[in-house]
Amino acid sequence: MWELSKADGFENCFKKFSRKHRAEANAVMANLETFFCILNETNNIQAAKRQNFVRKEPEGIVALDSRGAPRETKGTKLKATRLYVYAVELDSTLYLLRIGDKDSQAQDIKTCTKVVKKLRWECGR
Amino acid sequence: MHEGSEETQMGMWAMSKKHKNVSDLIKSMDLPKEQKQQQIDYINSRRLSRLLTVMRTQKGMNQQKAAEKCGCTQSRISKLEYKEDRKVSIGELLDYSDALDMEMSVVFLPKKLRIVDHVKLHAAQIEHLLKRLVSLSQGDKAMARAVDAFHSECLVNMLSIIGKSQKSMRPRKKHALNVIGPPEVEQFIEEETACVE
Repeated sequence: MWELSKADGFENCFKKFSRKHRAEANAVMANLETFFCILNETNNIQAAKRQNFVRKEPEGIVALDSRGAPRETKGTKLKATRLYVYAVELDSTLYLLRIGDKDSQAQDIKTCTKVVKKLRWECGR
Repeated sequence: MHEGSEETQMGMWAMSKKHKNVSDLIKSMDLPKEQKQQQIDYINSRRLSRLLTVMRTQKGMNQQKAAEKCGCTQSRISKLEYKEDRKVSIGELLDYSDALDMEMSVVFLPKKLRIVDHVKLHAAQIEHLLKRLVSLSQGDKAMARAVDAFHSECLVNMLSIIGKSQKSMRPRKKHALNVIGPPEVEQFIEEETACVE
């Protein structure tokens, strides 16, 4: 059975993001639930990564987008959102690293990569 | 996430609470109550479409393949998999289940059915299906033998499932550890104890 764990700072990051982009935050969390259900039902990370709301990033990080977000009013433009997660098979845990949009994408990936490298080192100890 | 705080992050992870599902995770966050509820409601509003995605993945199928089997476009499958439950039509579900080689059945149940009632409902269904098997096997010796063996298998499996569930409720008994050393060590301990006395 897989479990979810928040990285330190994820909650603040999510709080800030969802205040501005509520629909996107809702959709990305719904997609996270789908990703998590697939992990639990198939126990196959590769199968979960093959979904079309999933994007592969360096170091095995996965970015989930906000596909399926409902538009509150017609003509409203939704922000392209990325929720960065990392699955550790060893302890069957899906770590939530960070949430952001296209503007912060490069910096988000950089930060997540560093965190994942340290997490791998911790797991290998 | 500040880079400087990453050192402490790893330590935090080892202790941070783990969650069984996304709704549980949202509930644990320090967000306005109304926002939390809205997010959980939205997740719950896509239960059916989520189930479709999971079933397709379990079959090892991608959206393109499912679309080919359904006789529609990949984008229609994609739209269906992100739709809210209220907006999904029976026709779409029938087409989708056909594509996955599955049968779809609609069940109407009273509201607020307890888990115990669900168990009883399944038990009644099992009884009904076993009766059908027995009636089918009448007049066919080979089939009757197979059905008889199946009854035994069912009985063992059901008892095992119920037994395991019941056992998981009871607290484990703590057994005292009995340690016996080699004879010379035992003798030495006895002598030492006698000396002390």
